[in-house]
This record gives sequence, C-alpha cells and structure tokens, in this order.
Amino acid sequence: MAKPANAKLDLPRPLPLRQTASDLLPYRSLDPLLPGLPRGAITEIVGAASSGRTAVMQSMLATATRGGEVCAVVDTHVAFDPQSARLAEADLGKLLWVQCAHQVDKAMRAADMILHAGGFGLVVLDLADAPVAATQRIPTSHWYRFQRAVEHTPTVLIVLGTQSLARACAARQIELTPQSPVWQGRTPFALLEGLELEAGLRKPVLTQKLTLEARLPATLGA
Amino acid sequence: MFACLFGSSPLLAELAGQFSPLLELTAPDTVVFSLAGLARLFGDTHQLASEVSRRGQTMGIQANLAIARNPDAAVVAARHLRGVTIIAPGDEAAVLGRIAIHHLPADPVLIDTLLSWGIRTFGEFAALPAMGIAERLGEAGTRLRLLACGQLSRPLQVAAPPEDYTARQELEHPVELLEPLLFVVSALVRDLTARLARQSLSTNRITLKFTLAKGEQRTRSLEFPVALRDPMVLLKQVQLDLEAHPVKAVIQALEVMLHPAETRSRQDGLFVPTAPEPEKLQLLIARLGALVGPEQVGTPALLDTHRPDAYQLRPCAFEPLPGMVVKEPGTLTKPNLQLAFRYFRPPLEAAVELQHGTPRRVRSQKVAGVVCQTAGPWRTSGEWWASTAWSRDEWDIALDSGGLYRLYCVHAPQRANWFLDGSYD
Repeated sequence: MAKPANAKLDLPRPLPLRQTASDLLPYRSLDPLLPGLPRGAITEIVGAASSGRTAVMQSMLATATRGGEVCAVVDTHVAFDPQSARLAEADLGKLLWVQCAHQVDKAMRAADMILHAGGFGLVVLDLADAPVAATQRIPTSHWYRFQRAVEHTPTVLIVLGTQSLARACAARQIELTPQSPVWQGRTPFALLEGLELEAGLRKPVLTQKLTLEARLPATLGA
Repeated sequence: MFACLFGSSPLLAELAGQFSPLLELTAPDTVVFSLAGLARLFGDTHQLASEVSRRGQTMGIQANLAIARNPDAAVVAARHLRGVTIIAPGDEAAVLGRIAIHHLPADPVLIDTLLSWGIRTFGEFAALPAMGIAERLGEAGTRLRLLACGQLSRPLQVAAPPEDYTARQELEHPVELLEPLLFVVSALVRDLTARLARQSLSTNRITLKFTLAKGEQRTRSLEFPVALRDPMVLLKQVQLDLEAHPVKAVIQALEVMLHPAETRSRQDGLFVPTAPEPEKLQLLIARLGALVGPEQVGTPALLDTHRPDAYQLRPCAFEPLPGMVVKEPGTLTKPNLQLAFRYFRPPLEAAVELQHGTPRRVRSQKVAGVVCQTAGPWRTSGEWWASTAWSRDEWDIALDSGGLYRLYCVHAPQRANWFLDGSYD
C-alpha cells in the first residue's frame, strides 16, 4: 500500500519531568522572569525587609486557595497578617496557620510534619524575620529531607528568608530588592501608596531584572 | 401477623418489646410488632391479644390493640377502632370498611374529591373498581384503595435499639505509665471501632474515664471535626492527648466511650484539587498542637471589628469542594501586587525622637534608623466599652535603611509609649 506523501509519524510526546504551577503566579508581570513555580520542589523568596517578599507569597497563597487548594503557613515569628491575606484575596478558610512562637527549630519540625502529612497545595515556611545566626544553624540535611518529602507530590514549598537557606535543595530562587516607597502628597499630608521593588531570578541565574510595584490596599495602611 | 398498639403511653415500645424484638416505631403514639413465632408461646391470636392486654393493664397502659395480616391494616384498625380488634385473614375489607373516609391518610384535596363522589367510608372506597381509581387518581389512589381494603403489604421497618459503644476494663494490676495504658486502650478502641464498622458508623468524640486508686474519677474527652473510624488514628490522638495531659496517678479501671456519628461520604472527582485526608489532617493538627500548643494551630478568621490585628484561630476542617469540580486556576480581581503587612507580635517597644511632633529617629530591639519620610498621624480608637479598648496615633515611616514600618503611640498619663507594630513587605 502506497504511503501518502504528506504522512507524518506522530510520536508520543514525553511527559515533562516536573509539572509547573503557572497559575500560582497570578500577575503576568512576572512572566518574563518566571513562567511558573515548580510543583514538588522548593522555591525560595529572598530579600531584605520591605522588599515585597510577603506580598509575592500572599499572591501565590491567594491564587492557590481560590483554586481550591489547601495551603499551610508555618509562621516562625507569628508575623502573618490575615487581614493582608484577605485583601490579597486569599481564602482564609483553606489555610492552616501554625504559629511557632519565635522558635526556628519548632518551625522546621512543623514544616516537616505538614510536608509528610501530604495533601497541601502550597506550604509556606516563613523564616523572614529569623535571626541569621538561627537560620545558619539549620542543618543542611533538613532541606534535603524537605526536598525528598515534596518531590513527586503536587506540593509547592515556599521558603521566605533574608538570604538563601535551602541552597542546592531549592529549584527556584526569587530575589527581591526594595527600590523606593511610593508616597502621595507631601509631608505632613503624605500617604503611603505602595512600594517599588526589583525582582530577579537567582536560580536558575537570569540576568534580566523586573521592576514591580506593590500597591497598598486602601484599608491596610495606617 | 402483626399487632399494633395505639395510645398515648410512653411505655408502648417497652410493652411491644416484651413480645417481639421486631418492632416498628411508626409514630410516637403507634407501635407495630411482629407476631411471627409467638403462637407456640401464647397460643392463638385471641390468647395472644389477651396476654398483651393483661400485661398492658399491669403496666398501666391505656391503648387500642389491633391484630391483622399486614402492618398497615393493623395500624388503621388500632387508630380508629376502640379496644381490641382481631382481623382474621381475608376479613380486612369487612372490618375496616366501616371507618369514615376522612381517616384515610391522604391529601385533603383527595379526600374532598372522594367526598364529592359520595364516598363516605373505607368500604365504599374499596368497592370502587381498581382500574377506574388508577385512571383517575393514579398511583397514590391505587395505594389508598389497597389500604382501605386492608391489602397493602410492606415489610416492617424495624427500629434497631440504640447501641452503646462503651467498653470498660478493670485492671488486674494498676497502671501508672502511659505505654501499658495505651496497650489497654488500644484493645478497647479496636473492639469499639469494629462494632461501629458493623453499623456503618464513625465517631466524632471519644471519652476516656479513669478510675484512680482512691475511687476518684478522671475524664478526658476528645472531639473531632470530622467523624473517624480508623483505630490507629484514634489511638494516636489519645496518645498525644495523654502525653499533653498525663493522668499522673495509678489507674485501676478504664472506660472508653465512642460517640457514634454518621460516616462521612464523599465522591472525589479526577480533577478536584488535592486536600489532606481528614484522618491525616486531624492527626497532623494534634501533632502540631503537641509541638507548638493547640491554641497556636488553626484556620484564621477575621473578627468583625476595626481593632488592629483582630483575628481568631478556629479548628481546621477544610470543606471539600463539591465532587467532580474541574480545577481551574484561581483568578484574582485586583490587577496589581498588593503590599502586605507583617506584624511584630508582641509589638516592639521603641524610643522615638520627635521633631515638630513628627518622628525623626527610631530605636528598638530589632529596628533602628533615621526616619526619611512619614505619613500620619492617624488617630484610631474603639471598643471603649470593653476590655479590648484601644486608642492610638499611627504613623507610616520609611527608614534610611530602606524599611517601611508602622509606628504607633499610646498616650499614657505620664508619657507617650511608642511601639513598632510591624513592617510593610
């Protein structure tokens, strides 16, 4: 039987090794930097105070909970603000909040329990306010254990810190740098409007930087 | 054959239970029970009826008794014919025929229709042709006609007695340590959960009663947001609770009680987002509670107040999405990234230098620097009628180090107290 001239052989397309959750990055402004968060892996968000780490984390939390996923926040220094999360449109009913009373070791153990229990779409380990000395004492084996716990699961583990903690165990590392606060009006009638920040990808390394603006919700400011 | 007792006494079920375990609680004033196999014990139906009457009189029960071939005929006869009525098989239509038609358990509109046809009694209704009734009144009419004839047959809806899921163990050797105690609890919990499984039930509360050396009683009770039946999960919950609240005394006897609850049923769809299994979630929350304290774990809920940082943690019980919901990415309505706030809990006490009433320099345990830009003060107060009253002046400040913070001042009688509330991030 003669083969048609335009016939093509369709080979099965190989499955991607690691599924990405592009829907967890709600703002398309981040697309050039990061097309999606890897599921079953650790993503770090690092930056100094007031660099927008919590804003990015809460936007991910909002999209995950609104998509029906159950999420957990392991809050080392009890800094999480439910009001901010709700203004970022997170569904608080889908959130497990663990307050770890300023103890890094308890936060690590709580995160370990949550990851091994399974079923969570997004787990946030917030070490942003932890002293550097305390975070440097975390054994590297903990991060390998977390990496093993989440791989082959749909869970995204987000680690918030001032510097890289998971190092080799993290699949992505987003670095945020504060640029300048945005004020409206002049003193004494000034109003805080938001924050300009710069986002970059340190792992895998990308030289391109993005400038973002985080707006202050009307009901959150002082 | 079936017997029906109709009366206002609360002891009707107890009287029926003396004759047969197969009894139906048709209504609060009506009990039907089976007479199958009672002929050998009590004789024919007349002797049986006299025995029921005798025992009822002994118990002080005033009730009508009817015996018939099917439960519904017995119920109708007991409700509308006084005293003792025994309907021999085949005589149902004749006995029930003199009952007025408005006693038929039917829609009032249907009764009016029958009355407009000139039907006054069950007998007259039963005499109508079955095909004609089916054509004019449908399935409901056919069923009512069979009831009026005393020929409606159905199985008895036997009411199972409420089962008690309690197990007690007297300990031959008193126990003080947790491990041997859990060994005993494990055996009891396994036995009780097996009994629950036979009834397709689960439990949402477990109660442990300990009898101590001097006869003193101590009770621990654990409630679960979702019903459980896995003995291992229950046992782990008990272990974590007893580790957190040890009995610290010699235990001589132990009683375990499971409170039955309906088993949850859920059909998940293929594309429904993943969620923790309820059993695992309960265990996880118990473990996290043991690690950081039970009041530090939960789902946040905002309180209906303007008070800053007003929230409460509620027990976690994530409601599953309805089955077969295809997962779609969550969509946010706001186009931009929203600046978030991070609290310092407790607020950081700060030393603040003022210039023309505006903060110029801030120094605290964690944060210090020169203030570059400020917004404020914004005075907020509220709940003066309660212990949660607050009154403060708030400032948004930008420090030379690059941080954005919320600073507030509480006016005390002697001096102003400054605190850093948190940072914008």
